[in-house]
Amino acid sequence: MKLRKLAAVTASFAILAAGLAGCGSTEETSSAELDKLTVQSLWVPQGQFAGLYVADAKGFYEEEGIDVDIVPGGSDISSEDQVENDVAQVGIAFYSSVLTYQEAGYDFINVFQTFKESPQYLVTKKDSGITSGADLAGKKVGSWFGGRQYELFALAEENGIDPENDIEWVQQDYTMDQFVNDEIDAASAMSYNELLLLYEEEGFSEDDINIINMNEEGAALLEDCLFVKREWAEENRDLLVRFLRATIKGWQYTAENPEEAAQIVYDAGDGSSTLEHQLAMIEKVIELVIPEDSDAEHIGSLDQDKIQQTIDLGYNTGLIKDKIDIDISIDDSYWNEAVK
Amino acid sequence: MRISKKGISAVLWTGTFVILWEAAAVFLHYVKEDPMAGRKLPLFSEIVSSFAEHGSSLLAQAAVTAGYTAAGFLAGAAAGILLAVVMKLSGVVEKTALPYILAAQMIPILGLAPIVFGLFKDVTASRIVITAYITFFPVAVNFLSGMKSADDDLVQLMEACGADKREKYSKLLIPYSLPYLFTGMKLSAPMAVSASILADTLSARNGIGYIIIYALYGGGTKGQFWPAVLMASVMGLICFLIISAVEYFAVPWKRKGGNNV
Amino acid sequence: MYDKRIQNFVLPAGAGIVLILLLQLQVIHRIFGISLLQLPLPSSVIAAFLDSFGKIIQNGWATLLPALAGMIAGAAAGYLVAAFATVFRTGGYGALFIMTLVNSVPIVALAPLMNRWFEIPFTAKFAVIAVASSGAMAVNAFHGMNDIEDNALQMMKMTAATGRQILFKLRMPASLPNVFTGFKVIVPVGMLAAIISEYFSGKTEGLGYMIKYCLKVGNMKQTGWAYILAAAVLSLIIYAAVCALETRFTGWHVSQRTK
Repeated sequence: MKLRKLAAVTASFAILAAGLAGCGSTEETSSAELDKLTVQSLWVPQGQFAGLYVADAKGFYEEEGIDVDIVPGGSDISSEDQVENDVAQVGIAFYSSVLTYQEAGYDFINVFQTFKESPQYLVTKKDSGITSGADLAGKKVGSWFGGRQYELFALAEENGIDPENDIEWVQQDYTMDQFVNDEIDAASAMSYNELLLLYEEEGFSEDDINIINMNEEGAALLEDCLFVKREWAEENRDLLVRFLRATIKGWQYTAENPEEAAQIVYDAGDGSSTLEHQLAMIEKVIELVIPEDSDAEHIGSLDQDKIQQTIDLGYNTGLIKDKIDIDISIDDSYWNEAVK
Repeated sequence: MRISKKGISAVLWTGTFVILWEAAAVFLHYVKEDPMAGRKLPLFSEIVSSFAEHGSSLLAQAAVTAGYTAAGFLAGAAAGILLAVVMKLSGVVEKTALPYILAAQMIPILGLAPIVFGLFKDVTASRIVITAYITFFPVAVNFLSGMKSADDDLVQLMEACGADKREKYSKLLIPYSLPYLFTGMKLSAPMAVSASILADTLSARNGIGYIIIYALYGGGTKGQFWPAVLMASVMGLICFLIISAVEYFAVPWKRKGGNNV
Repeated sequence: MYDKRIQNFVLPAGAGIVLILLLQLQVIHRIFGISLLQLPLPSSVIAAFLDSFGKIIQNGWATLLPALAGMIAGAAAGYLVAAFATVFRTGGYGALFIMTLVNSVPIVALAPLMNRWFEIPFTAKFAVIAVASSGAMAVNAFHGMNDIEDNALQMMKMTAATGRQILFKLRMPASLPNVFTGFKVIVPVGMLAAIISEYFSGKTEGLGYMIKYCLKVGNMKQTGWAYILAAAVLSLIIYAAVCALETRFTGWHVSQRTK
């Protein structure tokens, strides 16, 4: 008898669990005429993705007839896998990372190159005397790894340093503690986040540190972009074009109204950060979205030279084993149509 | 009486723990003047005041995590119990499956997530499944060893009296192994909290895990990090106490010496 | 006896072959709708395993040492707390209470925190694994030390045994089977703690470091799975060692009887 009871209890647990699972998925229903679109972000809501959050909050997506759900990313999932699994239709990821998935056989295309320059910096303390990539031989250099190391490998190779043997790599956790504590000579820092935190929270000023900029060193790998499955894009051409048009508008609005954008992102993040940090981040991010040699009309455009450089450097550093054909890797027809 | 004495003991220990913490923190801050003191071990009083500041939002996130914990734990415990019974029923299954179940426990979420998401295509379900995945193993192992520990003479006696398999399980093996089951659940309930926090970081929209990685990434252990960690610990402890309380009522024959935790 | 051994070997091996076949023929992939890219074929994982065998051994060592040391230290600490809570029945209860509290700190928070406390990466890893392992032993050992037959306890008391004698002569030996159960739970928990701590560890070595290194890069997933395979094999070896010790030292216990 008891065994049967046990079975009943077990079954009811399972049903309860399934029921609870069901509860979460009943999200607010939107008006029927809007097309639903899920975007898999790379990380928590922050200024890095301001254009999308602004386009959502200001109703730009809705104007294009789209109901967009921006799903935050995390440390243990990849946008590429989420898009491959159809959990999302559009993914935000580093273009250098998308390349590795393309090589593995994921049929993705890069349709929108959000960051036109690399935000990856190496920072060193002023008194270290390390001011450029050429000074890194024999030093302790911090990297986040998990794919982030290749840009640093490219930097080393551009300077004739063997990244395998001439540099002592140290893995950085999410913080800048190892740098503050002098456990490493050079630390990875994103121009829009870790560098700002050094100023905001660690008491550093611009005079205290040297910055090694990947763009100036010719070692830049392109980062944040929007990618989709090729097949999905072909079947949903109009939806994707409308989505890109609204996203461009979102970034334009962000560039013109950084304070308001910061507030939008701050609210999207449930107040888990500070408004000041989001604003500072947005200001840095705008420099990447609209660099000096570009303009607001070209937000997200796919610059062939920089993309080819990413493919070439990726190949040279072993990130990818073959040079992927640029015309397979990217498709700018959607962007072209969006700005028409 | 005993409960209240235990309560006093717990309060005294917690008090001592907090005082020791504060003393160590004061030592780091003011005697050693460690520049990293605030990150290594902040003053407990600072955590409390930070908790006061962020308390309401933290509680809301804790509620989210608690929901996933409960669902994941129930599913995981159910799976663990089922698995243990099947393994006890058939030695063949135990020998065949156990090594692979153990091996599968070694797949980190990083490898598991794409598979689980591919299966469920849904963040909520995936979070619950991953929590359950981490939870079920201790339950299964403890329950199985409980059923194996039943007095053989009694088993044989029942067999001699003509008891069938179902009676053997319902009247002897399962009641006998209930304390073991509860030991397993006391272990896995706090684990379910950690697992659910780990699953929060999958798609960081909410939950205690979301607060923790946000605080880590956005400026070291500042802000809500410590209150969130403290919250996670307290949640683990509450789960432990809930299972203990359930055990107290479910296994009354073990209550006598006050031996239950 | 001979039959038993064959059974012990043939069954898991046979199941393994079936499992590998199901994966290789993509039966599991089709049933669950998993793409080959996300769960690579066994053949490509094994190829990657053989390909980087030297590095796997090297990184396996780097994980094994702190993992074993951490598991044993954590278990010892847990056992001590259990003994303490048993001897000082009410007064010691709070110790278990605090241990559960510490044990509940999530590894994602504990790992970076231990990096700050201990500048040596080995020590930081060791500490994370020890904390994660302590709870399983404390709860199981406490159960064992207090799940004593009344007769035995009465007998000890009648013969005027001191509390200390009861602990050392009765409770501790009686808890041995539970200690082994505790270790069985500790193996996966400790190994997983080792792997996750290596995501954050400063030192660029270990199975966890390599898993993160490879699994996040699209075209290195097979290599990532090869390292997961290595972690699985390692934990199976440790688990088998625990089982062997269990048979050796608790042969008297009913759970070890074979019919």
